[in-house]
Amino acid sequence: MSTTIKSSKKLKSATRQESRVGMFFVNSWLIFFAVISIIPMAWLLLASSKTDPELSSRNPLAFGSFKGYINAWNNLTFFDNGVIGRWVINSVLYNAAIVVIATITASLAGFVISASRIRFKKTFLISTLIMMLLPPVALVIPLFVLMDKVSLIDNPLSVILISSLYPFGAFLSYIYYSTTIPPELYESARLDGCSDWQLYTRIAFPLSGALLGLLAFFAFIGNWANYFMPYVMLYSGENYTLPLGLGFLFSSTPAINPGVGATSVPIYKPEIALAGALIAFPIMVMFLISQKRLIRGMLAGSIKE
Amino acid sequence: MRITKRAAAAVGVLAIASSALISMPSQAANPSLLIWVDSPRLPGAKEYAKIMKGKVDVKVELHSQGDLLAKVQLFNRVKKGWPDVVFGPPNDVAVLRNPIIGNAREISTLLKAQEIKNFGKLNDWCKGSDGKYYCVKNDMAQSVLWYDTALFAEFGYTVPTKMSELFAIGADLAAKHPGYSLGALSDAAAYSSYFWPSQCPLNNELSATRVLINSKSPKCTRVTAALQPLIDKGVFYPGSAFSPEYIKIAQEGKLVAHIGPSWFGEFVLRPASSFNIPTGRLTAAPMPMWEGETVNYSGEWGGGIYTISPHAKFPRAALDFALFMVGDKRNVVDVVNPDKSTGAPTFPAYIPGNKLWKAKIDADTYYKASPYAAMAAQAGKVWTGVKPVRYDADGAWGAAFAPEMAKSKDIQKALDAYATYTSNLAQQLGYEVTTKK
Repeated sequence: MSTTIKSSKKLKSATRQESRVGMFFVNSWLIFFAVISIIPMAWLLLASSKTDPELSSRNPLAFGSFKGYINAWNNLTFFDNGVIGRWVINSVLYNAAIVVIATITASLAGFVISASRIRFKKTFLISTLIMMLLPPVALVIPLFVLMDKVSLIDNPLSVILISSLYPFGAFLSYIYYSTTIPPELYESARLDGCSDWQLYTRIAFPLSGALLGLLAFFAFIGNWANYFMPYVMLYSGENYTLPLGLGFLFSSTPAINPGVGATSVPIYKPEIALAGALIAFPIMVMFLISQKRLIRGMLAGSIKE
Repeated sequence: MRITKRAAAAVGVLAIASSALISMPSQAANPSLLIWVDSPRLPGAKEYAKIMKGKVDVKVELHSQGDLLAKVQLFNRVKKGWPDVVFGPPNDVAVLRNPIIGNAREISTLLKAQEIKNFGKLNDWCKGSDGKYYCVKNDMAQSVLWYDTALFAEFGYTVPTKMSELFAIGADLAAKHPGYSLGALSDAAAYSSYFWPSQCPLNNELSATRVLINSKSPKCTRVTAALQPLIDKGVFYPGSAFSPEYIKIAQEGKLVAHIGPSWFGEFVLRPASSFNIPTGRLTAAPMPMWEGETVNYSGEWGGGIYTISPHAKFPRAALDFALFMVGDKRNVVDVVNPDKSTGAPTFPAYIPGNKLWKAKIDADTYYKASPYAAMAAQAGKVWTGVKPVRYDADGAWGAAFAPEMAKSKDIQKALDAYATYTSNLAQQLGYEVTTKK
């Protein structure tokens, strides 16, 4: 008996030791990836505290001074009487509209493909998949011509409407509604006389909090730093988004394009690092705020009972 | 009843009058102008908009250089949206003149005789083979010899007037003062400073359908033969003048001389964030001459242009804007730039503007002696064998020449890589590539 207890104790201690070794490797691996992810972000934040020459001569992770941030900010905001503020406001407004429209329409589309009784559901689903595969560049000319026909070129609505087209979101919603909500629930609601619209508003929508969070998050991430569509559709400075305006501002400086050579625009690497941080910051905040909801949303439908 | 009739008549008269007013041609309306400029030109363009308020409705938009090329085909498709006047890189004039694009207006018919006179030789880049002007050049980027007077005095050098003398200085530096440099060669530096002034035939458009590209021409090989030993000895840096490594060399006070464009002094050699050469040491000399030549030619690196759209409803108003930017004191001298400096940053390509700029640079105490005389001497000596071409000849330096230089440090190999790359580009755009005239 005592031998059995002893051997059991030995086994437990060996297992504990093994698990400690395993934990050590797992934690080391996680720390390694955390460091790899954090270093570029830390560099971005520290870069704008230094002057341009210091960026080349000092340790990449050394801190310059708070004055460095102020100088870089002043150089960015001095340009064209602080037009950068306008670009920030535009980006926020356009993205808010895109996130709301894209989330609602994608959720509705996914619900219709998965739960409604309309015809050609499979065709709609395949069309959605094809749209996901199409690179945006392939649609530039048709979209430009279309927006011209409806007189929306150089109008923020063109960017908002086009960017709200969200096939990935529709497909995600389709998966969610097909796997998370049991079809019997829809059937019983129909027996009680619910229309498709009522099915969505009274059953599907209240049960799709995690999905909506996920849709909104991806819509925001996909559009906040979007350069291409605003570049094609907008050509008035007052309508530019932050990435577009900064792109035009930086492209004529040797900091980003040495071949440009001469310039009287005081944009150097610290200013570009600060602008990069400005663009990345909202994405980081969004991620931190919504990470719990995101994980819940991503796991939704993974277990089928 | 009578009242009703009168009222009806009054309404009728009003309706006719108002419709007549509406349909009247808007003779009193101001000309309108849509201008696209890059960030350095934005303050000047906005100043122009302010000055013209009430006379011309000017709308100024910020765009990157060359942005029009990306968008013009979209505008052509919907037949609207073209800006009236655009600032862009020098080669754009050829691309925009391409009938498929069709967005560079011939401006000779708009120019007054005095204005053509004011161009002198400074606007020759914009002159087509038909002798007509197709753009207004904003600034000259002619190469000159920048040198450190203090180091020249310390090492006992005299200003070279021939290329062989410059390379002899290089050999002397390698032997007696290792670590000292005569410049960097990547980006478009080797081209604008050595190959172009040597008349090396690259991108020489012979006609609308033929281009001469021959990296094995003796006018090219004399350059590579002279530079290679000095690259090997470290006197010439094979990378970019903008690289941190080379900036460090220059900041340590080891740059003896550098053939570079006229803007090099203000934007590469002087700024604290760049080479940071101290006050009272630098000046410029005319280009040294290649052996067997009678003219000490320059090349160019940069020098943007204004093109006017054939769709512009008020082309003369568009031209007036371009001439304001290159010739008016309010831009050339007074305008406040984004870095809070004032005036045009580079050598204006218009004689009246250039005279104003001369006063500004002559008064600058940074230089040991004003570099203006050397710049002015070289302004009319840019070798005109190089013409704007329909492909991206400038971008090819970064795409083909620089990577080969970084890899092999063999300048002839790098030049051959450039020639192969541009030959392919040229053929794709319908040129017949030839190696002989």
